[in-house]
Amino acid sequence: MLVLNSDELKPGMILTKPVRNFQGVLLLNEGTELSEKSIRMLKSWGVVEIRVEGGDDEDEGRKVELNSKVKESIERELEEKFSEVLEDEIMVEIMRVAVRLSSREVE
Amino acid sequence: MVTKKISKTKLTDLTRIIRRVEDLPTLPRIVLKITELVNSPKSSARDLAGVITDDQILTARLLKFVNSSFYGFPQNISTATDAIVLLGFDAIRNLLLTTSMFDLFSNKNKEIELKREKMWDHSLGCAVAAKVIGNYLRYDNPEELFVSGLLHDIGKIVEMLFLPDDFEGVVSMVEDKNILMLAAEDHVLGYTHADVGRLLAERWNLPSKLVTVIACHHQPGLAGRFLQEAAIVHIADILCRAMNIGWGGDNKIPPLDKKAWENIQLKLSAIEPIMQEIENQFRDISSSIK
Repeated sequence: MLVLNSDELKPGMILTKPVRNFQGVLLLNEGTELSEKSIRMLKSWGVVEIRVEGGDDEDEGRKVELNSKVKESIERELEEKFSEVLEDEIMVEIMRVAVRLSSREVE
Repeated sequence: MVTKKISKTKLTDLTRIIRRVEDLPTLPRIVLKITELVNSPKSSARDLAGVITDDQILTARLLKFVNSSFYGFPQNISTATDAIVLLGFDAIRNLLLTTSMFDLFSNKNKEIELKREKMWDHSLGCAVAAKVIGNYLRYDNPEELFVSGLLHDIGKIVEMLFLPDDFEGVVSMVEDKNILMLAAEDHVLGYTHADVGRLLAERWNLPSKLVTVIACHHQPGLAGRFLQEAAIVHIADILCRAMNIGWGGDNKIPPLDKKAWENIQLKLSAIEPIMQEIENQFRDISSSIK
């Protein structure tokens, strides 16, 4: 969901919450697809903080990107910690599990 | 000639520590009394409960702990006697030893206090890890491993609180060179936390098994008849550092002792379930103790 002001609205956007004017009068119901006309109407009422569909995918994308960055840094940190002992296959296994356990916390 | 000189310095240093060890806190009398009762075949749950209920804080802790998710008993346990019967004598002694240890070394300096808490987290993590490994290997007395893990780094805490100048030199070398605290101690002081820990453990008259594990947790091969116990704590230490449980004094993983690994005969595939179990149990215990 995105929260926009009336001048940021574009035709085709779909309302996720009903829009009321400052007197509480319903202007448009939720689920309405905005047109040029309805956007002009909202602008004339000076309505702010209009909730429309969209944005989730971008947020999700940013979160995934952030998570993978955190994971990378966890991995780097552990590699540094283990740097002198990784010739041992047991240590390699311990590090693998440690990376898995600590990156799971990020998710 | 050079060797002789080094060992002479080392000897003076250790004597200096022993002098300081004289100033170290003694174990609270109540813990000694409880240890005595636990060790005596004649004592009953009621005798032990009698000693514990004399101390309100101890009683409150015991009940809080026994009702925590760490044990997960279905019903509410409201008397010390019930708690003792349910947990068993050894577990009770360990619990009391654990909570008294937390108090024993508290410090007013905030920065030191923070480090101390993180070190205790590492010790508690090792205690849990040693017990989990012990259970996995069907070791006779996993509670004993818990105490060994808890105390294995006691020498570091002693250095931090009672030899602050020495400790600062060690910490700055660890930070500068990113090496193990053990290596820095050896370089700067000529002795290690394992030596200091052994001194304290001897002074507290802890059982020889515990003294040996504390002294040999970095070199289990020297632990003689307590090789298995030292090996378990050695590996517990490595796992906790890998899992970032608390602070072991540095940011490195100590090398795995081959003898230790051969001795406990763990399969490579056992590492994952063991580490998972350590994580779960550590979460439970740290929320019920603090």
